[in-house]
Amino acid sequence: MRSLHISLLLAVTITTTSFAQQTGRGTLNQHQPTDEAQVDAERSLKSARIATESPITAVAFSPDGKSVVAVSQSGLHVFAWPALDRLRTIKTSASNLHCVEYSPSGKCIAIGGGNPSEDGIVEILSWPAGELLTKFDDHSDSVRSVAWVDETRFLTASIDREIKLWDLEMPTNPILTLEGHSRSIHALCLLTDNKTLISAGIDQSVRVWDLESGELIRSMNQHIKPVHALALRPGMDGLPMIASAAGDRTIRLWQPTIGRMVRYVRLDAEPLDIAWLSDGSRIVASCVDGRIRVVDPDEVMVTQTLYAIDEWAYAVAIHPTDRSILVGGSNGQLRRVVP
Amino acid sequence: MKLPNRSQLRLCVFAALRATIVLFAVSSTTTAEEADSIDFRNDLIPVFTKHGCNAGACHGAAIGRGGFKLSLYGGDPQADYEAIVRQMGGRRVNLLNPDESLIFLKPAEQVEHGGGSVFDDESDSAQLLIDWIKQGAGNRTRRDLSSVEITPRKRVAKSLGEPVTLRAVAKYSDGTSRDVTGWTIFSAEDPSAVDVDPESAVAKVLRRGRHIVVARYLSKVVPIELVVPLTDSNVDLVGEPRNNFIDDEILESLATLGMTPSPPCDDATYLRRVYLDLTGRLPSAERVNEFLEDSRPDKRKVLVDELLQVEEFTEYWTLQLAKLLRIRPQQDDTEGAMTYHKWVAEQIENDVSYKQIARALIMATGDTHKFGPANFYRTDTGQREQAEFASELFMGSRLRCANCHNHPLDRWTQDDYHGLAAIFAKVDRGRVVGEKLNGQTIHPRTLEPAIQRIPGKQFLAENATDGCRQLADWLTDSSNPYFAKAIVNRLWKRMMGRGLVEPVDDFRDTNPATHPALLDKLAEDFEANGYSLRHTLRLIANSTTYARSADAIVENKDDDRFYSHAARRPLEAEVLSDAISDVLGIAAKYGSEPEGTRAVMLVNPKTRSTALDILGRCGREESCENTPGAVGGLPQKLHLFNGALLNARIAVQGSRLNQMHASGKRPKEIVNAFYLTALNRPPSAREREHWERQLAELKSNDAQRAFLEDFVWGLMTCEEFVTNH
Repeated sequence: MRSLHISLLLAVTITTTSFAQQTGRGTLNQHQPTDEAQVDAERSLKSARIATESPITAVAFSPDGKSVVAVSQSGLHVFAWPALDRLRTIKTSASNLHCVEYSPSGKCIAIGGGNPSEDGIVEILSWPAGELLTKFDDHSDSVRSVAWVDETRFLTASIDREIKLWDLEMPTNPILTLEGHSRSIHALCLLTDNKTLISAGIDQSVRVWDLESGELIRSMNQHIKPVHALALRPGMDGLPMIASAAGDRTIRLWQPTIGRMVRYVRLDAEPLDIAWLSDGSRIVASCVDGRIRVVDPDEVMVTQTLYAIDEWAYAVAIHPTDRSILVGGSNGQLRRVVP
Repeated sequence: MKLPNRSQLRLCVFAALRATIVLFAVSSTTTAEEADSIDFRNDLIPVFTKHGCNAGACHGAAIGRGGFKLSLYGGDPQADYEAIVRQMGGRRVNLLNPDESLIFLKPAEQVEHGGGSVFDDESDSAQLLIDWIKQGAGNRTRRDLSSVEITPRKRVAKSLGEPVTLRAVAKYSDGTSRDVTGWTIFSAEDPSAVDVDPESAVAKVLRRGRHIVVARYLSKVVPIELVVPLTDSNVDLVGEPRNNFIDDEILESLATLGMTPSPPCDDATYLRRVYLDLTGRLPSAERVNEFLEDSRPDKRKVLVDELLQVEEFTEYWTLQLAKLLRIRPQQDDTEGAMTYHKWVAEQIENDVSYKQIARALIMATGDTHKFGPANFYRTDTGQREQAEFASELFMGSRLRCANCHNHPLDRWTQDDYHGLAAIFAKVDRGRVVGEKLNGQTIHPRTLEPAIQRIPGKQFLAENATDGCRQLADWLTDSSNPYFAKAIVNRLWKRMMGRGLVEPVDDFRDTNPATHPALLDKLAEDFEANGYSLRHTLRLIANSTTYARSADAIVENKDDDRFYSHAARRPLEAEVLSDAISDVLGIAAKYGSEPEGTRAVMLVNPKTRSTALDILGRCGREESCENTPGAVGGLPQKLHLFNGALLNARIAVQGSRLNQMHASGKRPKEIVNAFYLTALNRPPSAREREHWERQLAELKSNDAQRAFLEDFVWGLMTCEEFVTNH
């Protein structure tokens, strides 16, 4: 398996950037496909293990696929795709940002984060103007995940162990607050029925909620370490399926509406974030070793392991049309990987 | 947030620390920038340890605290780095605004912190933390810590309150060293006895005696012994009688402490004591008289030799090993337990070397119904439990702490724990014990199969199939630092009432022996004499230390660990139950065992017995070594005083008292006989006079009979009967 991955690595096309380079301190040529030797040289350059930039913690493609957004402690950054030229940076009131999501229409963007142990903040910006429309700060600790229900409502999950449902018109009072997780919540995933919500976090549970009643439907407890990410499998005709990635190095596949864990795959590195290819045929996981692993969900096996960045790859997103992968992580690294 | 007057806030200690870092870190191959950079492992983790952040009561707990987990006392620096810098989306470190980092805001209590204010935001610790983040929050380590040198390691102070300045110097793999006193934690085992000022690292002994202070810097822990003699006057023990090296060592420590030992016990006390310790029985009245009348100067030595050869010695010490090995029927498999017990009895009877016994156990294979030692692998349910059991049994070490984290007070790591478990995972633990080549155990940190490992030594080859043999070889090699000490310490405790290391299964640097040289000598002597249990028992029984009176004198009344007088030890449940039966002349009934079966001979520790239930037996599911003796607690005492255990048997048909009445013994003779049988001594003149006076006041036979029943009850509930003293 390992030799297969290495050979696949040779075929990978990578485009990279970091904020240091964008601000004049870096001179790495962008948009140029790099071969393995270049990648290794760059890797060794960064192996001094001194962070100079804040980590990128979340990334998202714009609905049209022509740009990407990435968040870090220094704000929301907008890059052109696929060049990864930085177009702009928008400062926010939160000292830490953890999540970013476009609204279904793409006319708004929600940025979640907060000031640790003080408040959890979500700022809604108009898009592409980037003007602040509304700010939500009712959480008592940082927001780790945000999910849009429709064009006016969205959900937030926080380190304060609460999930809140918001309406853009009522920024001071959440419509609904879901309590049940015993520790920080890291991930949310809304099914296509727009009323079944899945959440997961440090308490290792994957919970299923009915948004209409606010009731907890079930809690699924097979993970043995904190759950970092959830992702809904696209293109499913039958029962909906989600994937969860956790510190126990597993990606587990669930049918949440019937409370069944279908199968799981154990990786050789801890996954931090996951995303499905748009046809639902593969899961892409970004991991603590800076690599991404491509997983066949039916055979529950890793089909590719690709170098992406040095150190922790916190965030991954799949381009809506061309299957290329965007990875963000430690030291402000952002990289395009084409499997 | 802004740190005011930062330049003024660099206190002397911090400046010295930084200067020292620079001074010693710079070598021909390091740049100035590297030398100036803060080393996460060597500079920052001591800060967390110093402030208690990574202690078990705080973020060092197995599940962390408040969603933030650090390794216990910084045992896993890489994991700590990831927890601080990487986890939770890197939110604990703010590279843009270092003084807005959560890792600073919390301990400085600039945001709500469950642990309160840990350090001032202007302190050296805060400054070091901020500077490290400013430098990029790196994980660079220039050198590895090799050792920490603590001075003094031992100090005998002349008087209370005399200041003892403690110093810690770290030695590194690159040959450099530096003073780390300011970042070392000095904690007294008994804070009411020793006061250590955390700022100056000056210790003062507040109570006379020997006390231990534990110094901790990073993963290194070092015990410091502080002694203040119990008296100001010199105690000259040169002329004290000595029978062997045990006495030399014990008397030397007593002289250091200025403690006068109690005189030797009388012959009757010695006889009772050694009978109970070697055979688990009381000497008969005839034997007591015979011994007291024996005028040979070496009669005690002769007695010990004699007792080591009798069948009762084998029975009793089989019980001791059965408890140590936790022999009991597993899942109602009585046959396996019987086979195991019989095998142990044979080893004791033939004085088989303990080394050979250990090797036979560890390398055992075969049908557990036919081959006793194979049952060793049926003692516990899983390989991890077996690893814990084996380490406590053969090494006297509690590896169990290293299941979840590197042992905070010892050298054991998770690799050691799970590596040993991986060796035992290769053993099929069914009725027929054999190899299980595909056996494995998952390492909880790596989530991969653990690699077989000799604890504290080396990993075994990935495909090793002889792990048990390699373990046995290492364990029983003469260079092994644990094996011989662990067993001689247990023998010592059995004979003396307290281990040189206590608890006996908790050997570690921070729990030093009260008499380390004696422990070394006992182990060397044990090894030099073929690992013979009998030899060491004989050695101890023949020492004058063993033969001291249990009556403390004014000068040693507070001593509970230096053997200035013998300890009064509650009898084990089995021994007391048998003793009651012997004295009363009425055998207790144990389940379906034949009439006359003695409690010490029971294979199944759960054999139905009200007597043993009352007296508090050990079920052997866990170690029996910390089980209190019989009648140690209030319920047991109340049962003994008021229950049927005694009251229903004292005067029944066939009892000793009943038979003596029937044979026409006079009350005075009965009193004398029960003294000899129960307390193994004749009554003193004062006691005799007391009982005769009491009996003389009772005119009727019935009244005298009733009184004598009460007399027997009184005798058997007194401290002198229920203890070995």
